[in-house]
Amino acid sequence: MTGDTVSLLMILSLGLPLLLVLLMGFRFSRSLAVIFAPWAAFPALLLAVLVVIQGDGSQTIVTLNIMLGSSLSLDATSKIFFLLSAVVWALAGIYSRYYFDDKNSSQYFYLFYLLCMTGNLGLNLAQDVLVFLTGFSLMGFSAYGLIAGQGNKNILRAGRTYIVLLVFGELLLFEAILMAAQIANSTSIIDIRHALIASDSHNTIMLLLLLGLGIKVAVIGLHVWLPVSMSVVSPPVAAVISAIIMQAGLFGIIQLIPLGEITLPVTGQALIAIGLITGVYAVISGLFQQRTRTLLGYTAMIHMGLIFCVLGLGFIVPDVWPVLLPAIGGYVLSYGLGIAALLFGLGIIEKGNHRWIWLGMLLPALAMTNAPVSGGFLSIALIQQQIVMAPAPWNSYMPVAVMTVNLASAFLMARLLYLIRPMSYEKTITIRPGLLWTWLVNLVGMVVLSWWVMFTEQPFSLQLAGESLLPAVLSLIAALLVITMHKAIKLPDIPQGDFLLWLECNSAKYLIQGLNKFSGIIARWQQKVKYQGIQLYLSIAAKLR
Amino acid sequence: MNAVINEWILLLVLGSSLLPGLIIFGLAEERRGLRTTLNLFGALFKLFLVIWILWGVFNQQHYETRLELLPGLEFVLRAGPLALLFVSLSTILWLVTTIYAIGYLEGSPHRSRFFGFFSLCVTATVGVALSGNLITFLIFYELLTLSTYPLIVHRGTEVARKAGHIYLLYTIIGGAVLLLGTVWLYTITGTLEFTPRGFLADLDKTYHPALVIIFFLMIAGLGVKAALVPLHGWLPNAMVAPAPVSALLHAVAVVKAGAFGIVRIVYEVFGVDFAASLGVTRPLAWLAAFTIIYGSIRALYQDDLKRRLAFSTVSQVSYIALGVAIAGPIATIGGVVHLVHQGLMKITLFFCAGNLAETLGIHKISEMNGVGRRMPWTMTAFTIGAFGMIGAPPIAGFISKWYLGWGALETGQTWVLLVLLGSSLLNAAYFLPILHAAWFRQPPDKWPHEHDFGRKETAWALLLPPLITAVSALFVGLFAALPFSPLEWAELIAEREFYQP
Repeated sequence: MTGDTVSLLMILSLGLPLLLVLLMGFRFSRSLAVIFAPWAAFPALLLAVLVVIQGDGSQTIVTLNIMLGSSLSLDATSKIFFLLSAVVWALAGIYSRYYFDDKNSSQYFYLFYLLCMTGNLGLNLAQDVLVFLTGFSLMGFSAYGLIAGQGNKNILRAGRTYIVLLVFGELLLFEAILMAAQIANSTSIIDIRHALIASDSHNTIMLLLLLGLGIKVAVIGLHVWLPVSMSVVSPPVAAVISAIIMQAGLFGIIQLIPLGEITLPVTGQALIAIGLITGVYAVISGLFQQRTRTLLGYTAMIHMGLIFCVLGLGFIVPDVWPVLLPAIGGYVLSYGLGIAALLFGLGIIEKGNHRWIWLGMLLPALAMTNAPVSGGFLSIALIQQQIVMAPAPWNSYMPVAVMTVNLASAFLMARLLYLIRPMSYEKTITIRPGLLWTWLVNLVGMVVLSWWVMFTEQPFSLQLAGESLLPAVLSLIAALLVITMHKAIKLPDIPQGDFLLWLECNSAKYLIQGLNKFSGIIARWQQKVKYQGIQLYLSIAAKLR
Repeated sequence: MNAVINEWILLLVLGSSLLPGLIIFGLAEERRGLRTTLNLFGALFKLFLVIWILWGVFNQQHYETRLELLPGLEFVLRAGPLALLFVSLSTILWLVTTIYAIGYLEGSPHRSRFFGFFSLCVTATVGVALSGNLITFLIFYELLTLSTYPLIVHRGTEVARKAGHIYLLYTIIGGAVLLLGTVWLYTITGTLEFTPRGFLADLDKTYHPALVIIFFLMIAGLGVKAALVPLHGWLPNAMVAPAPVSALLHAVAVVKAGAFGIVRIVYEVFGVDFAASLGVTRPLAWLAAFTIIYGSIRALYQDDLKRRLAFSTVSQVSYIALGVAIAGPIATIGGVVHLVHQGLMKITLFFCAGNLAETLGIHKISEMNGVGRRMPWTMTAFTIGAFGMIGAPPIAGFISKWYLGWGALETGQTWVLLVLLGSSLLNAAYFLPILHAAWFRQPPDKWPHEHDFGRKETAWALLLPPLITAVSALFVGLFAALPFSPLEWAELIAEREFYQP
């Protein structure tokens, strides 16, 4: 009975948004589709809750005869990512309904919203690489529609940066998956993961996978699209980007790379280094931001940096991966809902600030520093506990790294709270209750869901909680310090997107110049050949005549 | 009874487009109703016959027609799985293109002449597909050249005449070179019958140098139509033809006849293993790879929409030659199935380009800003076609790319992966800006030359064909594993004709 319900909901979660997209195409059904679009994530939400309650959805597999034959299912890892996606999609859908005033732009928004959602939920459900790739592309390309939807100059720049990296990411991912599938002689994700362990070329494939998916995760060097996009898009889109799309990259890494079954110390150390550099870089860039959404983009980067460190640990000590994996899941859920709540809150504050809203923002801000307001607190505790089991010197480096990341996000949160502090001269504008309610649901959801998942999935001990209080307290103190220091020091503003964007723009320019030159040479050469060919032909024709 | 049907049904297939074509030539310009009826009847009847034969071939029926031309030289039509793949593609797309052409040429002069040659052109294409030996192939191949020329110059402008001239120059020389190769081969072997897995492997070693030269003569002759660089020059010029002609030229008739010929030569004259042992497949693969990249780079710099699509064809058709030249079973499936996949996607793009020109007077990419809001369905079809060309899943082009890449890895030719990567990247570079302009830029105050179609975005006859082909391109990718999908059929071909189990 429940198996049938689960299957039905799986089909519905992908089918309903696609149906609404189709209905949007016709004039007579367009407004109807726009009315239903905000609720399109609800089958997925229902499915996610059902599967989390059940414990494990992996016994329900829906076989579909699409592409080269594929199936949908939710296992212990994907159900957490699916839950996060479903909640944020649902919230973003309803929030946008009250956020956009203009009918035309909301139509466009929902079109890409539905497509992007289908892609994202599809890749979470995918059991084979072809459906995964399809979902990934659909999500990536329709996210361009969400980012570039409004069309002013800054948005175009953001869109261009995004699309260039997107295309590169897609292609690298395609090549990696193709190579892996050929080795495994199968398109099933599980088969591919197993085949990678024994294969000679797993280093190349994993490098390509990490590059292709790392663009979505926005690790250092591949991150330039994130801050520029975050600064120009509307809050619901920003929430989708930082809470869903970035997570999709991480999900791909966890699904496709045989973490926990393969020991690669060098790769592991490289990942830890990348994670740390990402974190440090993001905190430095973030602290100088005046734009709150860009700042949150950098916050997202910090957290991804931390997760990269944990992935690195998984490569070095595969034995602890079974504990690390659920911890990552819980952490992603807690921080994804937290950053979504911050962004939805920012959207409200932009329309009208109020002391109470500012106070409400404290909750997700604290969650982002892993204070014991959400389940992320426990995840960090678990991770800290596993680090101790790592061989030297990692057992002493890693706790420092985790602490640093915690402190870094505390700094950024303090800076954010400072930037959005309510000014006394601001008039209170009436805010649409819909926005406020969505936000409140998000806040409650963040607390309830993240704790619930942590309790149901993890052994909980008071001692564990106690041990991890220290970083939280430290973070709090640091945050207070930053707030007080703010009054004394005025920080300069650095451009969003930073120097790497400059590099990218210029390299693209040179590439295009080079291609131009090449094509010029070819065209001249061709003209010449053509001219002489015609001359020759004419002279022959004349002689024959 | 069945034996008689099996013997004559192939001539009926040819006749179903030849006869209406000949009658249409004699019709007065204003007999629109009769002309349309004849066209559609022919197309539907052909479709019926092809479905009949498909079912028969699937169940191991044998369809063959033999007529003696000269002593020792026979006119042979045979419907094997490979032939049927191309015949089905032509038949289905002929039907769709006929509907489109009726809408497109509404009210323009010389329609009887146009549809007459249009039918001849399809007859020739189907003949090319069904040919059972090289001589029959050559006859239809030349007939195709001649019947296409009037279509290219149909508008009668100076540019059109020049394009037609260039086309004739290229294809006649190409045909002559192919003939030379064929005659030489005949003097060596005494037979020209297409045979599964080739008929040259048993020849004495002393003939091998001659065979290598013959191979390249034939590839050069076919390469003109298949637009292999540097023999592609006619194709971008030929885009002055009316949109339905371009659509047919790029997706079904001329370019595909060349590519199909290459498949025939490699697999059923030389035999792929023998060709590989002669060392001729490797240079062909390099040439195809170069064409793929070169065509895409040239496409980047075209502002004229149809010209950009034409260079894109140069690039995409070489996927077929590449798949063949990689010389492995999986890559072959990828190459052969791309015959259909590229056809569906490219015809969609050309239909859409035609719609933009007919409805709004848009010919250049720089005029396409915001056109997605004005013509959403047309641009949706265009978007599907363009993403298919880039190779985004789940559209047909992805399946081709997947099989080509898989086949290359299987035979250890990793460099092909780089070619696929570069090609997809370039395809993205010249298609995505179009999509961005169409969907995200503000439309201008006034379109260059707007026709009024009331509340519809354009005429039904113009809108339905691209929608049908776009949805097909999506579905043959999405449901690639279903029976009778092009992919499944290509696997059947590889199994029955190319590789002995």
